[in-house]
Amino acid sequence: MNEIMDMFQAVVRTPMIIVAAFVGTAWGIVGGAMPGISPSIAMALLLPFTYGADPAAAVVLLASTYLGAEYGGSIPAILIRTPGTNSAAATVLDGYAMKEQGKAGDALGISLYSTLVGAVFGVLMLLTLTQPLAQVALAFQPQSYVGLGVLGLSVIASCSEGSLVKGLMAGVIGLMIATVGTDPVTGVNRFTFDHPDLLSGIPPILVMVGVYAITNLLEQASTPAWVQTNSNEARLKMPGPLMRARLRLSQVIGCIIGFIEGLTPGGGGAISAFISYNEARRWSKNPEEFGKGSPEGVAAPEASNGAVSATSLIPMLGLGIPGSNSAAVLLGGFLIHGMTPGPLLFTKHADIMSGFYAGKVISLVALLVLGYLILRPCIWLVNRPKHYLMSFILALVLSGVYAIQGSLFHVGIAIGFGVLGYAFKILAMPVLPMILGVVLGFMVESNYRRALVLSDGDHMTFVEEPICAALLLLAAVFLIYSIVRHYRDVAKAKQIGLAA
Amino acid sequence: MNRDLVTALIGITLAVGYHIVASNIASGLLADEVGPDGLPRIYAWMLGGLSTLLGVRALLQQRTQPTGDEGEEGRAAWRALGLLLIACAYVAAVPVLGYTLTIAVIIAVAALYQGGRLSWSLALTSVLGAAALWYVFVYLLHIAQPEGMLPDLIERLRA
Repeated sequence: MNEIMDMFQAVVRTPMIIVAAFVGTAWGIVGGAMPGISPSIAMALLLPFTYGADPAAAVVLLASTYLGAEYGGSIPAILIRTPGTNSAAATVLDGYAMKEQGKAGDALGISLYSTLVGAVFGVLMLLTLTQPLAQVALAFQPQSYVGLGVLGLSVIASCSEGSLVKGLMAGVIGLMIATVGTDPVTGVNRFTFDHPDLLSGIPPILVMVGVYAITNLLEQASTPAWVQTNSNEARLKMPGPLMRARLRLSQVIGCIIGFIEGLTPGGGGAISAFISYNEARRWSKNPEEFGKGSPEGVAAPEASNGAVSATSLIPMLGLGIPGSNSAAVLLGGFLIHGMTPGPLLFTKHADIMSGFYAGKVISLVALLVLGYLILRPCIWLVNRPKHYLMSFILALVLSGVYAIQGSLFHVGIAIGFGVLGYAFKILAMPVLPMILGVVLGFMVESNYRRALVLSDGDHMTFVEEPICAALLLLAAVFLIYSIVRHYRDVAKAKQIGLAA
Repeated sequence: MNRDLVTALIGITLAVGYHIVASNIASGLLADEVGPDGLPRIYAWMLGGLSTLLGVRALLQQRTQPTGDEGEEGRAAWRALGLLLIACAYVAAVPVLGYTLTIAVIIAVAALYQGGRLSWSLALTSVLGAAALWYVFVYLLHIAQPEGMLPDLIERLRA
């Protein structure tokens, strides 16, 4: 009850939260509907705008964009067989088949309704689990933060998308980037090359805007224009009582899998959607309809996507460990306003967090309202010539990055990271491990050295401090599990290849 | 050349370069046991080790690995390079021309580069786009953008 009162007070104190929830959701739907613009890219494009905004409104804007983009991705998936986001790929299977049968409006309605069901469940889990998790972490010492940082870095193994070695390399490169600037203990300049703009290090926001937004623009420069959508097909129809009853089981499956995968670093998005689709087919009374226009085939992945949009924020908010690209960008939004997600977030910035939770709840209403209202304008916008859209987005990014600190040098850095992100794509290197390295590198190094100073250089301090020891053990277990799973997947892929 | 081998070579070069710079970091009077160069050196060794591992594995698997469509990738990279140059041109031009003019030109040039044609709609889009961005950033959010030297120059010429 107290939490609800706090949320209400936060909205009264900062009414901009309501505006941010609606604007973020609207932008998310539009961004997600553009093929190639993932939720994290849609969020990264907004990052510079949040710089001067109220902190609560800023993080609500980003989180609402995430939710909106999860639904927006299903619009082109259903209408033109092109998923707007990776996680909407599973929706193509039955969504487009329904459209072929003249049921595009029904498919869009099921998608909106199911995303909403998943998101409501996800937000409830977020409200229930995040704060207790953070309270456990209130007893943290410098050593514990080292353990937490190492646990966060162990996530790299599960975010490596194909090559574990390349994922680790990307992670180390991220750690290297985090060493640029003034040394946290001695105050000596490192890798600044006498440039004053580098003294305070490279802000993670520049890395994120570079590797997500600018890299995507560089990629889009060589991809053909996407297929146009006929807006007459887009008359959204919400499911009636009978259909809602039919969808219930597949939505429950989507919610549960979305919850588990959202908590697992590197597990959300497309993986979660496809597992939900598969399980919904397995448990369905009409499994033969899947792939041929089954409403449950749309409901399960969309419910999962909605749940992931909230549950993937739990480890990020509670422990400061972003397990997905979108969570990493949201973390960037918190960092811009001097808030470090993790144990102290809920005590140091309790009012802002109440506002954040209130914004998450308001964004559910925003999704329902805007899902109806802006479908046609959204399709109109996505149907604009691609060269105009992309050139405007380029101008927006360049203006936005300058706005962060009024520095053209920073614009240059962001462009440089855009090039690095593009090189990563060409070399098939994953980007998320690098982001993890950039975000966690400073925390790990400063606390590691502080703990050593306090213990007179005794490394046993990390094993003797119980929380740190437990976190390091957890990191080791997680790392071993990820490595075993990686090599098991590689072996399985080889077997399938041989069989084919 | 194999993609992993290229990655490994870049990684090794980066590790060596980073280690050289890390070795030249001054210790300072307040240096702790690890020192400001301690972790950077470890990171360099880690990157070097991982790159070597990747390189060795790439050499062993070179014959069995299928190669991608390098021609297509090369063309895409050249297209990306063009857009990159447009972005760099913005950084170079904005201190001289000022924000509104430069951003309008950038919208027009980027659209032309990505397949647009010289037309009234292109001109209108770039002018309206620049005006919209100016309105949002400068007028609405009160975020100053570079004014450039051009207005000052015109003023001087008038005087």
